[in-house]
Amino acid sequence: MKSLLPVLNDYIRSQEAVDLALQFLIVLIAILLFFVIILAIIVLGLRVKNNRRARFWNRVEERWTKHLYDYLSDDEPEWTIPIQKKERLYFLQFLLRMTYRLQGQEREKLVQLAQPYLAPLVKRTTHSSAEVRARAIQTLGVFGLPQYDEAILKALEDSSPVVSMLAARTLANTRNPKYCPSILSILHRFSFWSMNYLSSMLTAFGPDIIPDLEKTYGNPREPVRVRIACCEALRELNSLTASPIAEAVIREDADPDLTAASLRLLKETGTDRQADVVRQLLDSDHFILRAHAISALAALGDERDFPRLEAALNDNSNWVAIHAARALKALGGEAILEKISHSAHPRAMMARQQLRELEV
Amino acid sequence: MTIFLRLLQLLIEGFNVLVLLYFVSLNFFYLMTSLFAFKALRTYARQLKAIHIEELIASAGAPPITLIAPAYNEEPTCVASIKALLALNYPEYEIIVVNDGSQDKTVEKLIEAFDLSPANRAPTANVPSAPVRTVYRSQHYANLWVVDKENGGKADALNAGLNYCQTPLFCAMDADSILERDALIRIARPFLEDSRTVAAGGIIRIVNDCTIRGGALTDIRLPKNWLAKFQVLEYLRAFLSGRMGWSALDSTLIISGAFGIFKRSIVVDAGGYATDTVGEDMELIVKLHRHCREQRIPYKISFVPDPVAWTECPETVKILGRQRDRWQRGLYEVLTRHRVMFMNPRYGRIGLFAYPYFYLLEMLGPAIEMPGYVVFLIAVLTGTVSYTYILAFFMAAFIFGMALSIFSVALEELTFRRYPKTSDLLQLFFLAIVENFGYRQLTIYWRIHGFISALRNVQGWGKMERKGFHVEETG
Repeated sequence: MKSLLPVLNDYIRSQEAVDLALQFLIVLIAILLFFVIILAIIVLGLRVKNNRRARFWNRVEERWTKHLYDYLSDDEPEWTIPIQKKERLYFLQFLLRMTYRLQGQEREKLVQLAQPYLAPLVKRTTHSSAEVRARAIQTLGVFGLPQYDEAILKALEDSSPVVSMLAARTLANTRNPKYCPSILSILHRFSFWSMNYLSSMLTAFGPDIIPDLEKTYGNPREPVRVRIACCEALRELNSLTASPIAEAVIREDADPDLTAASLRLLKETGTDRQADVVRQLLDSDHFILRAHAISALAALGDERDFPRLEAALNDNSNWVAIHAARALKALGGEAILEKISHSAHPRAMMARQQLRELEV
Repeated sequence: MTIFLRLLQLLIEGFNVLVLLYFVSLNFFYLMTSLFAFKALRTYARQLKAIHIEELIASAGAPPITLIAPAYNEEPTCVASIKALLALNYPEYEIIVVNDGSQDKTVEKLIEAFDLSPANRAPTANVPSAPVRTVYRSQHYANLWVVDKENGGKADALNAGLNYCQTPLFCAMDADSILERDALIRIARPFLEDSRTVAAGGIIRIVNDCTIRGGALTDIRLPKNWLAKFQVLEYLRAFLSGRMGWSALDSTLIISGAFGIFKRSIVVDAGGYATDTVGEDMELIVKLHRHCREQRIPYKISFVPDPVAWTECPETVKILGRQRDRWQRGLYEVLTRHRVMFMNPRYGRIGLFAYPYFYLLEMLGPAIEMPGYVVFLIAVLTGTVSYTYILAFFMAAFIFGMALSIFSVALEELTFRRYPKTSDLLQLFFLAIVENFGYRQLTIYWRIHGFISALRNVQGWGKMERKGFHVEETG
């Protein structure tokens, strides 16, 4: 090794090495220059192509739009503009965009217009590109249900979460409860999605799926986030039969997020019989559980809870104190808030805010 | 004497190797982030076609957002900016304008324009900030609040706003930036798709010489001023190639202070914004990485390339120099403060990859590049390195830089095409060539100046002068 270094050093300083480095740089410059020129040409070409394509589709779309308005307003009894083969996918996208703006009979007319062009989309639901599959599922979901539901049900198992989520969402939008078990069975795949999104998807099915939701929610073997999604959906569906399950879930000392969701459910659907289980959580170590317990107590408690709520105004967490002030107001404890609001209590401002919240 | 010359020669050679290493690694990172950005942008653009975002937001129940807009001496622009914010397309949002002890009539203007009156609003958090004088609420817009506080700087104002935030997400922005109507809808998407998301940043574009009508941009064009033109290209490179690429590598280390959205609870838990640095936006992101890793909280920080905040950029050498000096100081302050993360496997790819890149190449880079020019010159004069070799090296560096700039323009053309005129596209190509003669060297000079200022512990933001937007009145 020792003898190698001087040799290497001599070589680096040799004219041969300098020439080699120079040659390398010259080749590099040539390649880069070539790449820059090609790239610039591609970008310019892309601009020309995009502009031309935009102009073409604008013209086509303008014609379609005018005709569509006539067709929707019954000025034209039939759709008479022929759709060329290369225009079919674009036509479906055009109809899709219009569908989001329309409802009722007009929307139904668009669905009928799309029918002749849907069959080739089934093949696209197995395309290698996830984005192509997603677009196909989205289009079939809007125009092709129930006749193409098999392709969409298959897409629930798609390797891309975006595709499977789109499939789930389109099935939920049909409001047909027969699809609910299939969605519940793959809901764990969407565990990272926002809970609001998952619960609103389930809620879209309507009250017919309450038994399925209650079964999943009450089952400790189900993943926690799936149970939370069901719990939130039950709350949104105002399921009165779910409150005993919520009580049992709280008693099982479950995951804090699941307990918090159960408290929210009890707040909406519980009765005074469940107030005791809620009170147990007023001393929880988790401030979120304390805050939700107080919030639930605002609906289930009574004036006997005033001392507890007044004590909660001193909680370290501002959120717990805010909920306590709200609960006091909800249960008729304005006098307590009034007293605090005129005192040097650290939460006097909070009391004033609650007392005057609806003034603006 | 011979020993001295030999030592000098060795020093020059050593430094040349260092400059070469710096050049190769910097361009390797640029190339890598550009390629990742290309893939990520293509996927994103295709997904945009597949997912109807407004429907997604409508069905998901959009997470409520509070916009926190710190304002300091914004008397001329504050009313127009807030009117634009009130016109945003988002189902549920609140605006908290924090007047950071302005010395002009910002508060009086706001009181008059929005019929503000003192209101009771209890804080939801206790992040330290300068004392709040009064909280106002608009009598016309129930979602508009103004927190009037004593001066404490931008970070302090954001902390004050954070203390009054009641929604799960908040958006930190500059009071003088213009958000596109759908910006909130688009930037909220990562929070719907991945509940681990704690922060997301949008793209910043240059508004100079564009026309604003009714709070929205109606005519987008390249600025007339050359310095501003260069910055357009620079921003395209920084956001579309840089931040998009780092985001694709799951290593976002910066979200611009002009437009970012955050999970309120995690920012409060991490202690809010640092008030003792001019790089408070980057500091928050680094701190969030650190906080989540140390507390073992699963998290994600994303960059979304199409929600746009338009901002005015400096048009004079003096003001631009101050801005770049401040950016470099901020970078130095943040990276030295959290140096425990440097090459630390505990912080995953951030510690092992993104942090060393920013530390060695972005923070220390100018300190290598600038002397590099001088040492190369000495090397040529003393005959240590051949003139041809130096020329070839600079040409390679110059063309590579040009290639990266044109690649960014290509990314823009492939995806968002915000500059519709072909003449603007040709100008961007031209800028990619001419920025190498002067502008690039100037930015290196400012960055090294900022680096020295940071070493000398210089504080403060320096005065920013704004020309104001070109606003057309509606109706």
